[in-house]
Amino acid sequence: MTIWWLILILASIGSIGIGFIWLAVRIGSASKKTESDYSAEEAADRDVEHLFDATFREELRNRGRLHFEKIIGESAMFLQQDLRLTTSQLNDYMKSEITAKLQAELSNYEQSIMDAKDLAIESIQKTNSLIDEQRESLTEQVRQEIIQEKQQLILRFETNMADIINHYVMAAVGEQIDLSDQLEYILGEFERNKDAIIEDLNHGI
Amino acid sequence: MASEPAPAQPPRKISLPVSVVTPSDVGRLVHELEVLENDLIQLRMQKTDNGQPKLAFSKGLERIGELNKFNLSLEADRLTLKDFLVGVRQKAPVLHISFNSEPSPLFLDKLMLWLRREIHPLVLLTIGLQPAIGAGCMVRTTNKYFDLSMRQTFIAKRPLLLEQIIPAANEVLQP
Repeated sequence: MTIWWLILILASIGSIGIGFIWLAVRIGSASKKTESDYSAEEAADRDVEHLFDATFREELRNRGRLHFEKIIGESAMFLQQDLRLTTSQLNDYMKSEITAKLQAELSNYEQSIMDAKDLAIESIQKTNSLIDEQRESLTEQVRQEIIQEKQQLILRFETNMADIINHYVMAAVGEQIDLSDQLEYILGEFERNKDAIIEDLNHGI
Repeated sequence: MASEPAPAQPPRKISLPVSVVTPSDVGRLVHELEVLENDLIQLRMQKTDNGQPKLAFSKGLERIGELNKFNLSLEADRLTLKDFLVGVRQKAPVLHISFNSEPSPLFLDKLMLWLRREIHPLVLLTIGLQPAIGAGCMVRTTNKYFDLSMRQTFIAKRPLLLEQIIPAANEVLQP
């Protein structure tokens, strides 16, 4: 809107200038008329011309020039004021436009950042939930494996308990028990298996 | 006039001393008797006026002679004993017994005494070593294998062991 105002002011200044130029040309062409061109009336007019002699015309010209300069000066002043006003408005406009644009861009940027942040948070939350699920799954798996291992150990211990205890007993007191001390036990075991041994020996013989 | 044949004497019951444990011991005695016979034959061939040569026997041979009242100076007794020992070596039942350590002679004497009294009067042993046995022994006869170790006792008493171990384990695991 301000640019249009500027153009209008320039057009008015131009039209005023053209008007003054046209007035000066008319005045010049009127003074060029010769004496032959005038009749009796011209004689009467010569007196008038005596009134409007060169000095008077010069004075008029000066007055016109001053008036023209005054108008030009006023117009220039108005133009300057308009220009200042327009410039300030233009500045304000540019400021507001730039501010608005910047704010829009910043808001867009902020929105993008927020979207990215939301996306990242969502992704992190998904990852966390996935990690939690995997952790729970792994925990459960490890727990099951520990239970299974424990049961296997217990089963293995129960299966080989006799060997383990025998080994432990021998490690603990083995050196303090010699065969002489075991004679009674060995003879007892022989007594328990005597029939089977005799039967097998008789078959062998 | 032909003389009446002497009535057949019942076979002498010969026994082995407990010091004769393994077939190798029997083999050594047989070998000693054979060597002795060979020496005697050589001495007879080199017969001198010194009379009957003095015979020297090992302690094992002396012991089996004393136990069975053999006069080892007599050839008949030596032959009888040799035949007996050869028969023992060929036919006597043999038990293979494994212990966790080398048994002492005294232990073997007591064991052989019981085995010859309860199992078979001519039973022989071969001794093996199995340190993993722990207490007791492993016995292998002709066709069977007897685990007379303490391990077998523990297996037999497994419920009692579990009854004792489980409360103790729970006490340790749940302080």
